[in-house]
Amino acid sequence: MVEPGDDELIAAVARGDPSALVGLYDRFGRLAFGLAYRILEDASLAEETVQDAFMQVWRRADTFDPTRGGNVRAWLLTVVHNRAIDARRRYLDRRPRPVPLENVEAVLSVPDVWREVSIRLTRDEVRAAVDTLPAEQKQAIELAYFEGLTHQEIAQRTEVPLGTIKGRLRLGLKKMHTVLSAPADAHGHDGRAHQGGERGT
Amino acid sequence: MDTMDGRTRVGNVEPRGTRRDHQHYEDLLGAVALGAATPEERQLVLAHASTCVACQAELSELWAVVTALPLAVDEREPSPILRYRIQSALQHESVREQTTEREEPARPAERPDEPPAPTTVREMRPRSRAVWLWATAALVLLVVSAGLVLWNITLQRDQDQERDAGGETIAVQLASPAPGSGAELAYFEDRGVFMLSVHDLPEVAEDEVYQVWLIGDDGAPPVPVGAFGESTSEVAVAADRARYQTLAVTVEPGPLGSPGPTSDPILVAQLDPAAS
Ligand SMILES: [Zn+2]
Repeated sequence: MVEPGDDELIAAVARGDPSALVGLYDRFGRLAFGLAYRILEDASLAEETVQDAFMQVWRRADTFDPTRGGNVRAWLLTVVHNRAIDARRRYLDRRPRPVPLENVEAVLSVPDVWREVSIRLTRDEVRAAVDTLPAEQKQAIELAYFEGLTHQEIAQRTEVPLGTIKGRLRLGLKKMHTVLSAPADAHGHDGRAHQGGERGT
Repeated sequence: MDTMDGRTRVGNVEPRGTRRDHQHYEDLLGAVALGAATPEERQLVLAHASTCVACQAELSELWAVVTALPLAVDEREPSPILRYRIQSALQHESVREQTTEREEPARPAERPDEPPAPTTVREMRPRSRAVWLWATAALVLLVVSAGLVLWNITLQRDQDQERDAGGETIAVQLASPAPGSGAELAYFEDRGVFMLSVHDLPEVAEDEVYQVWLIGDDGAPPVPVGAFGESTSEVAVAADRARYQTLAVTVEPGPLGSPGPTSDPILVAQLDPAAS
């Protein structure tokens, strides 16, 4: 028996099939909850956030467009992240978020070459990439991503000039991009990813 | 707004398309990708990127990295109640939406291990299906409520023996345990019966009941399988454990309860043997 792929599940959700959403939850619920918990540090708030996020996925699945290079896991986690940061700023920091993230998401599409990369990425690979960063770049990115701080807030918190913080955010992400895009030699692949047909089941 | 650094002042922008412009926006790409820039900055950067190939390419790359960041986090097991709450929220949405939909005869969910039943209705409308199940559930409720009384009587005298005969104990979680309250759940495979025994649950109002639900793993709405009024009770539920993943109890309007849960569960048990 073949498990339905993520794209099939999200398509079924878009057609209004509740079991497909539960299927996505069974697949990504632990990751979603891990992310929300990391941001909120509170289990019940994190659960509420994950529920919110999945209901948003339920209502907006028809806007998911895999041909724009997205992948379901990344999209779903982006929704969870947005919700969790909103909740963190609203309930924990008492400072509503100045920018909803959705707009960036809507404007940008992920480069085609990245799709393959991002679907196969594992926790260890992303962690390894984060660990290649100098400590101050890593800290700046974590404050922005997991605490939802703006560049100005990071500058204040770390007592570092704003221009430096902008540089750290950009250089850190660039470095991670380089590391994550490198051929996956570590997995014993031969690195020639464009032979075609290797994703068939 | 951005007074810490004159270079990012919004009102102070260079004429369009200059090299310094590009450099200025380029500096902001990381912050924009991470959602850490001000709204004004983001707007300006996106406008610039729509005409600057280099910035557009880089922004896409950085954004792609941002979408991978959550993978660095440790997975974490949420409480089983969360899955239940999502299922029941889905049910509510489905029921709400059905008013606009013309119903067609729907059939139960296909089981993945069976070949799809031959049908001419190629495109099944799942929301109609949910409604159909919803209606079925109401019917089941009536039947089972009546049946439960019998079960209670017939099982009463066997209970002690049954317990000794060794039903399999299943872990139960109380949502907010009142002092002294408790619950036990056992499954007797040979008879296909769950025995749920609760004591000193939080009291319900006179016009409310505790209602028991079984929830499958196919996304179908929770099935009502019985209701009881006493905070200390013992109820039997005849059901095939393999078909359900969760048993839950909610407080509902009496005397029969609701066709679908209207409140968060006060008690939840994961039925999957692998989960316990
Ligand atoms: Zn540019």
